[in-house]
Amino acid sequence: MKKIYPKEKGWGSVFSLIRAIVIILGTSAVLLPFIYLFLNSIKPEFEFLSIPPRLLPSRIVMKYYSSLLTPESETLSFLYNSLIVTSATTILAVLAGALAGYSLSHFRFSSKIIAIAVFSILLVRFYPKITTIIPYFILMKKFHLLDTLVSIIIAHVSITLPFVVLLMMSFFRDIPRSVEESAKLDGCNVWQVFCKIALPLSTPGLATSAVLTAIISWNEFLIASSLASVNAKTLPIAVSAFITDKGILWGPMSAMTASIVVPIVLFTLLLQKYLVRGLTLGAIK
Amino acid sequence: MENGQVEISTCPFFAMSVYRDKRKVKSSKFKQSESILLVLFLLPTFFFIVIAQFYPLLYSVYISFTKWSLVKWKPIGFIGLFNYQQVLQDTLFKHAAKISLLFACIATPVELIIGFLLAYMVIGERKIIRITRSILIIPMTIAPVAVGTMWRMLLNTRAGLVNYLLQGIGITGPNWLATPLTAFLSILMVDIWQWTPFAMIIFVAALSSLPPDLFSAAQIDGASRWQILRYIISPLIAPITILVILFRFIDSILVIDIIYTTTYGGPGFSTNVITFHIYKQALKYFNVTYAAAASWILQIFCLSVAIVLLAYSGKLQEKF
Amino acid sequence: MGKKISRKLLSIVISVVFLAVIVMPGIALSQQREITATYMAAGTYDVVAKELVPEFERLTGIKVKIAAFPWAILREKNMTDLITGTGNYDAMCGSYYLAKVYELFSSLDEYIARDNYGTGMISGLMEKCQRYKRHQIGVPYGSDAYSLLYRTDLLEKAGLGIPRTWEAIIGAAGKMDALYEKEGIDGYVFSAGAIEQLPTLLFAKYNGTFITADNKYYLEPKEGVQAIKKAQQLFKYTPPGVLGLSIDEANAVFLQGKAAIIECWPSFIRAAANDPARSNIVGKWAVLLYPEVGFPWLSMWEMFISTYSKDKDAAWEWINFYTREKNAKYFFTKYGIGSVYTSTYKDPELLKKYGHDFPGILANLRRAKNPPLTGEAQDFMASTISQVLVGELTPEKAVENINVKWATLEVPEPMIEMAEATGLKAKR
Repeated sequence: MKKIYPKEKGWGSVFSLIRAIVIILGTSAVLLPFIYLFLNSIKPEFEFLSIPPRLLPSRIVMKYYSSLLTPESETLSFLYNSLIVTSATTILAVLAGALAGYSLSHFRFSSKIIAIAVFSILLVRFYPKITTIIPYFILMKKFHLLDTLVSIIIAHVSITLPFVVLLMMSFFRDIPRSVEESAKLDGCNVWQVFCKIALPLSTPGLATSAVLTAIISWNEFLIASSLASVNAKTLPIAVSAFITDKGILWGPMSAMTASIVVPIVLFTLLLQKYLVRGLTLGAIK
Repeated sequence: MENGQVEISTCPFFAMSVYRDKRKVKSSKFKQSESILLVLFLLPTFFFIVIAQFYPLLYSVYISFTKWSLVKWKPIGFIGLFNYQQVLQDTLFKHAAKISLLFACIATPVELIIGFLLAYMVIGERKIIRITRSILIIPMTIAPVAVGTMWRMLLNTRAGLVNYLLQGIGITGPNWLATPLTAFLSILMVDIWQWTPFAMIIFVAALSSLPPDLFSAAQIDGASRWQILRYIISPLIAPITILVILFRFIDSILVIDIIYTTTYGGPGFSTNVITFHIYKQALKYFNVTYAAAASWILQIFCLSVAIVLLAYSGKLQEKF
Repeated sequence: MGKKISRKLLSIVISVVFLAVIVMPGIALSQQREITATYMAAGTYDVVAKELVPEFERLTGIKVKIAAFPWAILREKNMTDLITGTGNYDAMCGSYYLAKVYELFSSLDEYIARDNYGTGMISGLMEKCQRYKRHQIGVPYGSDAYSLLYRTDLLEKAGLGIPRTWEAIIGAAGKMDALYEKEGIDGYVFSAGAIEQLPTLLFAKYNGTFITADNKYYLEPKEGVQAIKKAQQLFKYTPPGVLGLSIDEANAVFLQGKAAIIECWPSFIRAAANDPARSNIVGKWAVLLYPEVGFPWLSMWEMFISTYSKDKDAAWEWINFYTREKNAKYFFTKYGIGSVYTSTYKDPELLKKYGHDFPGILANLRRAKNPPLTGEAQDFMASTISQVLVGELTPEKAVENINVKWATLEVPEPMIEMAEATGLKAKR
């Protein structure tokens, strides 16, 4: 347990008080919107916009959720698509990124080339993805991959790879040379060193990459919407479907948003310890 | 890790600064064949990034230098920097750039400060602290589209939660999305709500990785909490702070999902940020050459900022 | 060693199956005729399209895939499919905002002539459909015209006659706003928070042209300024927060009886306004005819056929089927889709329920027009009007800004033709 708070007389309790207040305020600021969202999703139809406004529903209406489960709403197929896209993206990005990270951390590159590698990764990270949509669309058309999950997966991997590569590169750097040298003396080749030594030692890095990649892929909207037509729609597209030219369909949208939010929140809560651990492990030896 | 040396640079997330790392590049005694294998390791990444990123990027550069026929989907002629000129002279573009800069310059420091404060408060392994941390991370894991629609409901003048709560303490809430100033504040609020956790989690990682010996030493010397914060912690996390600034600054310039779902650029042009402006040009009006040129101008700007900040961060690290 | 091999084998098999599962949907298996039609995902047009697919397949043997997208994405998908020559969508739904690419739609003239298409439609609607070089490329299936609705009881109680000019309407709104202030009723409400709706505030008050004789976008200053000024006057009688109201919120204000006049798309409000379970104003409202100035904004969903379609005949079969007169009444009663056929408005059953507003709606529809504006021109005007309402600009400066921007915009050929046909282009 890191003690960065020195023991001071008198200040200790004030600090704890401040801390308690901050924690309460912070968690309320995060949780209240979701509670409100949930309340909205079970309100009868015309109560959102009633004058004066009502916060609590007069009676509980489950029809928005049940309509999500009907085959017409296609929500289940969106869910299925999202799961496939996110899992495939995560697996591919982490694997490819780990490989590349290992390579970059071992190669005898001049710092100039590494600078170029970092630069090209920046290029890809900070570009507004909008203008690349149409060229990418055309490319996918040439390969007959439009409206398939594959095209979305490839795009998602390409936007998450840079981060994974950099993260894993740093983790691999931290592995002591001695460990790898002794493995090689025992007769391991590069691939075996990678699989048996490097990967296991950098699991927090892999976990962190996986979590962050999954989040980005699950939530990505622009690319997925431009590539999907009938078969390849993912959940974020479903949320935006409730913004019509007539206005917003509050009920269904609340239910849909609530449904999208729940899986990713659970996922994060389960794996959140990796986020911190992965980010700090470099220093804790 | 060498004894006694504080190596924030090894904090994995900030591998960006790797190129500045003064430690020797690993000179492992890999044989020739192994070098080839290492190159093969790079192939999958190469494949993905080149196909899905470089090709479209180059394509859009190409488009940006042409007069392009939408119907035939091919260039009609090469007009050099004309599109860039047109973009830079467009008042709407300049206005959008101003809005974006203002937005980024306000959002980033706010997120930084609140993020740091929160991080300072939620270091530790006690159950409550860990649960709080988990809860506080949630906003940044939600799809921006979903966050936008959620906040649109929250900020509804009559039926929204925000005004409801304000009324509870006796303030009549404004028409958040209806006037230019409050609409701008609204998108700031949404961005801050969603991304402060990002700053927080980075600072948590950074603070957690500081060696405890430093503090014991300082405590023995009788330093107060405030002094420790100011003279020991701050300098040590300065490089990371710069990187957080970098990521948040540029990402807030690139913000679009929130705008799309809450204000749609209005009222008037008050929330017409640059990426949203480019989005409309590219995918609503299909002025592809304008959009391509505008994107690259934005790209050049972001890259310059990134390079400057990275260099500065690297310099700060060298001090250690 | 054996374990290693079998584990490797297993992982290979799993990966292959995994990939197959993902790629499978992309493999075309069927031999029968198949087309794809795009619709807006609105819970109306797309839902009813999916309902009709099985019957259509039974009758013709053609399989139809319905690709539904949210409003903004629909436009993007249609355009992208066209300009990249992809041809994935055979029949597309859209409107005049696709003008830049009309060249890429097939002419429907032959089909229309062959099938005697359009009989029974409201007069003038077929003429308002989209054309490229005088060939008709779109046929209508859902129509609506911006309308003013008003509270008959409130007007009567205020001792006012039905206003017929804009000055009279503004006066009536003002009077009722003052008279019913205590009851919390405002004179006028409009979804000013939905920026894309703002152009309507100008269209019905503007007696001028949009395109000059030499084919440039131009808003006549005098007409434009007086139109915007009238809108400003009306906005004096709106509820607080009107500038943040979305369409359904503005509708809710009227439905809950808190406004005397509303300017809206009737198809979104009509059903609720006649349903005691969903509103307080049943039997107390009617359509207020626009003064004979400018035009009511027409919203007409049309179906087009892509020139890259691999089976244009099949696409036409579907379009013909979807838009036929037989469906109109069902579309209307179940989904509130505005019919394009006069028979719907004469149907005795419907007349009983909606009789009191049909004549008004029809009258507005007959006068309604599509403005010959591109998306960019229209959006800029909308945002600029928003700036006036918010107090950032004067009407004069607004019109000036609009014209400065419009001068830089390209006017597509079809828009010029449309403007000429509808009298919205200057003669000299």
